[in-house]
Amino acid sequence: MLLGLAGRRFGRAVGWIAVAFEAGALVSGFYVALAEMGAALPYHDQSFVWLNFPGGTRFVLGTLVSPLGALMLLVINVVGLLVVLYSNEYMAHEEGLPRYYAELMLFLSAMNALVLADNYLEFILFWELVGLCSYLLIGFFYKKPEAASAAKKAFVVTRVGDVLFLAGVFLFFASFAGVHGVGPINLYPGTSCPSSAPGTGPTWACSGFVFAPPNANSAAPFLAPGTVTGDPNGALMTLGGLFILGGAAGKSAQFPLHTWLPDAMEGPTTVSALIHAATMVAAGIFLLAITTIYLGFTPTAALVILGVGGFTSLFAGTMGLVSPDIKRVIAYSTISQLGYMTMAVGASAYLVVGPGAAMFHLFTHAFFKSLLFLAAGSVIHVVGTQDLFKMGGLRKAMPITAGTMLVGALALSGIFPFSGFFSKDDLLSLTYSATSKVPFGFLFFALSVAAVLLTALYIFRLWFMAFGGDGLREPSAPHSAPHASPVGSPGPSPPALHEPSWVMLAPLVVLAAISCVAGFLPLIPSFSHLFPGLSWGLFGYSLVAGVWTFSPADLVLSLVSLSLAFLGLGLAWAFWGGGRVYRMPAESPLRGLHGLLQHRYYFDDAYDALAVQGILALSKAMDWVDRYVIDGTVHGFEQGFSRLSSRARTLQTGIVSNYALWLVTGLLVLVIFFLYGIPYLAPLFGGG
Amino acid sequence: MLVSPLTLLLAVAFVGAGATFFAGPKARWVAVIFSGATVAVVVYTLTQFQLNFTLSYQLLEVNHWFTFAALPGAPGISVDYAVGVDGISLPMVLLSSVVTLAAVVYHWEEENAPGPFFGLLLLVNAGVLGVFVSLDVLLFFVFWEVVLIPMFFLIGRWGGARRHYAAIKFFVYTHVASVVMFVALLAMVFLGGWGTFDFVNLYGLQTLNQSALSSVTQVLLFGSLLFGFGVKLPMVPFHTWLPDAHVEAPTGGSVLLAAVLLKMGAYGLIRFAMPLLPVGREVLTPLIFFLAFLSIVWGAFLSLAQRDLKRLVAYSSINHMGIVLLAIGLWTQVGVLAAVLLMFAHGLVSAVLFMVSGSMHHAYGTRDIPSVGGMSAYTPRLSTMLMVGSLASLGLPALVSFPAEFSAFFATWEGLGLLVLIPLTALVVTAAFYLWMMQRLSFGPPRGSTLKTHDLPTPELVALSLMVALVVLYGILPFLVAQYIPASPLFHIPCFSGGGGVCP
Repeated sequence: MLLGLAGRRFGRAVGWIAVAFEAGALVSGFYVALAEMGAALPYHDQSFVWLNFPGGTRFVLGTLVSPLGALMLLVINVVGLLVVLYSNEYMAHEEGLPRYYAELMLFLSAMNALVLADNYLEFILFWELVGLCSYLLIGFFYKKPEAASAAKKAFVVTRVGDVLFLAGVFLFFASFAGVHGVGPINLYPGTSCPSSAPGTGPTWACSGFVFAPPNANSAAPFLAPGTVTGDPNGALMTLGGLFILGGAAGKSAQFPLHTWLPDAMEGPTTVSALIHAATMVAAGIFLLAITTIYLGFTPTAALVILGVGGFTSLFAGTMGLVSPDIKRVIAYSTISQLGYMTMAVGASAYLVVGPGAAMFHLFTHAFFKSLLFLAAGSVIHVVGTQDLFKMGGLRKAMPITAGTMLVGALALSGIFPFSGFFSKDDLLSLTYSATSKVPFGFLFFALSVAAVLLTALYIFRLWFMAFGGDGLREPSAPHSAPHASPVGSPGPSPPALHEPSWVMLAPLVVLAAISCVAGFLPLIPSFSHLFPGLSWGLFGYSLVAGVWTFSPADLVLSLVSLSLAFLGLGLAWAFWGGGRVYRMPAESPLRGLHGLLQHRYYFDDAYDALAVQGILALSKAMDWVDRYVIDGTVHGFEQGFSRLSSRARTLQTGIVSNYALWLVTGLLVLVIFFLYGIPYLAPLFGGG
Repeated sequence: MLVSPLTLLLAVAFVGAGATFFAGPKARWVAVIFSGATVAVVVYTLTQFQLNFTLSYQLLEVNHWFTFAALPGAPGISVDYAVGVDGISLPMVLLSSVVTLAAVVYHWEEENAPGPFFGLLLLVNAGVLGVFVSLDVLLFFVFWEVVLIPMFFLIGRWGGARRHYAAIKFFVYTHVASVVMFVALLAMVFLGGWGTFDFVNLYGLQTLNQSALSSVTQVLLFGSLLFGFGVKLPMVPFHTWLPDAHVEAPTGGSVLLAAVLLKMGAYGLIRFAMPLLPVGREVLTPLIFFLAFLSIVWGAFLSLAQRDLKRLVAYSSINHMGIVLLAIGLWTQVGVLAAVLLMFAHGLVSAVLFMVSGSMHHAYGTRDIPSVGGMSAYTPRLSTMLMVGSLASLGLPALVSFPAEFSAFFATWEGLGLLVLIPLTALVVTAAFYLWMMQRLSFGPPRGSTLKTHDLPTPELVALSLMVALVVLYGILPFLVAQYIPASPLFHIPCFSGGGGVCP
């Protein structure tokens, strides 16, 4: 939308210019979203043709304001504005601020464009661009080897997903667009294809690829088996769906492509809050959600998506339990919550309803997770370390940070009445209805319920370790110089510790407020339009299409998940509350498990050993073959010829002009041979 | 007599080369004026080119040159001065002239015999322009050889430590390929019964050809042309001259070599081998696919193993030209469009990367990747250029390779289905080797002899900025070049897949 790259020359003021631009983007984002809420049909424009392929296929850069896109616009620009504001203090002491803001604004522009894309190709284009920004921003502290390495890892791992994504898009396109003899299929009779001019073929956006159905409230039924020529039992469609899942898994850090996200915490905390919590990592979910609505997944693909998400939610949660790094705990939590969303998309795709539940969780999660990151950033800014074992007692010095982070933690754990409760509840009940129809589905459901307990456990471990107790366990030099007029009450414990100024606190307070009320937003009718297929629920009562219904199963589910969350909170208090630091005894039988978790199930090590070292070794071997076998053969020819021509040695004068003379003479001989000889020889070759 | 702007173009290019060669110490001014004039004529040509006219070549000029008086009973063969462009050659003409201008600017401070140096650079360009605009087999081959000789001297005279070895290897290897190619082309002309070397109306003759050439002959000829053009491309396993030539060549030589000379091979395949020998093509298409996949994978993995930045970029060229070969081998309209677009994109991007390699050598005295680090801190401009070039080469959107690679993979999907996963997987390796190289060179704590370093000197900065600007411009607005490509008689061949009609 808006590109704030103009800020190169403005020095320190660049941050405020960025704030102004982003505020403008937010206003226009609100305008667009409100317009979408009131509109009967989404705004859609396809006038910009980017590439014309021969044969009539066209690559269009269009604009589409779909309900999901409008929701994403709100998320991106609200969080974006707050993060840019927060950066003005948090990043004030860093070098290269113009670069930082330029990359941040480029990211915001690309992200806004991504959610307004009207076809998969345009989607991929901006998808790669946000990936680039993520790469650049993770590597912002480029002098740190860890940061440079993490940036590379993020890019390469997500590119594995991107490759699958591209293959998936090709597969869908080929299936629908007439390449194999099937005419362009207009999935939604209500939308007309702009490429109907005679002589033009299918456009990428108009062959089942346009994201604009008239009714988003029910997911599109996937094309029935047999619809696509050569795909009688839907195997191709399943494969395509799995490829799309691969792309989403790369971006949204789902198992087994999750390894890049914890390392991405090497970037500035503001970047983690914006890109790696609220927006870019949610793009994978957005992709799945949009595909659910407009293309649909086969039941098999839907179940795989559900399974991957459910597994990831528990898997990542366990790793979050042992990490000593405040940001990495939140990062694991992000992976786990994204797993929930993936699971919910899978469930809605299976049940053929709109992906509103996943989008609702995406919406609430964006706010409370960026709140957690920004609060953690505030702690890091003041304490100067990310190691939880060195923190402690910070609630006295930083009451506002502690309070807002508590709100974030409660919301994340899904405790009533904070926003996470509602979204998680809706999501779990949806998953329950999907898994109850599948044999052994309850196993995945159990995984995700167990993750509720873990979530509360790890996030309150973090909160108690940072804010509980009497004071820092290991004082270290503060990250920044004390400010002239600190806001917030000066705590009695270490005098150097204090709240940051309003520039950083205001975003925290705003996000905390949103986290308190966001859960009720779908009650506003025009807002519920943005969550197609969502049945908003409260202790068994749920609101479907304006009518309240009661389901005992949902009530039980709510109570179970709520009590698990409280159990997690209680356990966290028992182990880490009041300044306690639980250290596992060396002889504990769980020690092995602890080690396994600390090594992240050895996934990173295995990837490093197999993929990285293996490929490097292979490339060295190929280099050897290249030098000694292929080039060796060339040299062999050369030596053979030079022996043959030893008698003609006198001709080899070493002067190139002589070679050139020979060359010309040789050519003349050839020409003469062909001119005069061939007409006689031609009959031998059967021609001429 | 109608004089084509292309004749003017060739005249400016050759006169410029000659004038620069003998201009002495002021040669750089002469060189920049003439290469600028060449670009100006090309731009004029672009404005004269009609996008909707696709039946034949445009801006034609055909003058009878001489006739071989045949022996009694044999038909007379006319050799013509025939020039013209279509949508396939026009992007190459633009690319070649722009890249030459940038190379001249890049070498502004050249002190080692500047007259001959710039003169030979311009002569390479003149030859390349001749190759792309000539419409007569003999004329084509004359220009083809004209390119070879100045490049040989550029490597042998202004190159690095092993320049003599590299120059001889380059010359002999590519010359063997030229001879094979030439013999095959002549055989096509004579056995196919064209009666002329002029190929203005070549594709109309195609049906004649098929009856004239037996299947075995077609396969043999196609194989020879594939070898002849494939060496130039280069395709694995006939590629080993390329890394040596690149590493030893002066920067401007490398730039022209990668940006333009490699494209001559692909151009030859598109122009002659693929359309004119349909039986040979069908028989050998599996071989093309195999060699293309091999080049793609081989280039990507070999790049990962390199320590020398220039060698790395050279192998990445093999990877990219492998994708070009793949797209050509598909022989669909989208495939050819993708191939030409990617040739254009690779020309711009490899120019950036080779210039960066040269600048790195100036700044740090080495191109060895492990012995330099932290370039972002010491030479931020150089580091930025390296980053833009690398990101462009690994196919990021908004930079020129993305639409090209994307089209190529789209065409591959249409033609080969899930086999597209092979080049797509290589794409991950491509990302990995570029990012790993940047991580070691640009980021992290400084290493290596950073004391005497200086950031990009102005001429190098200007040249690089020009190329980067084009990389971004054509990346954001790819249709600016893609729109020309289908305006070619090739797209009217009846049996060209997707164009309607069926091959016999």
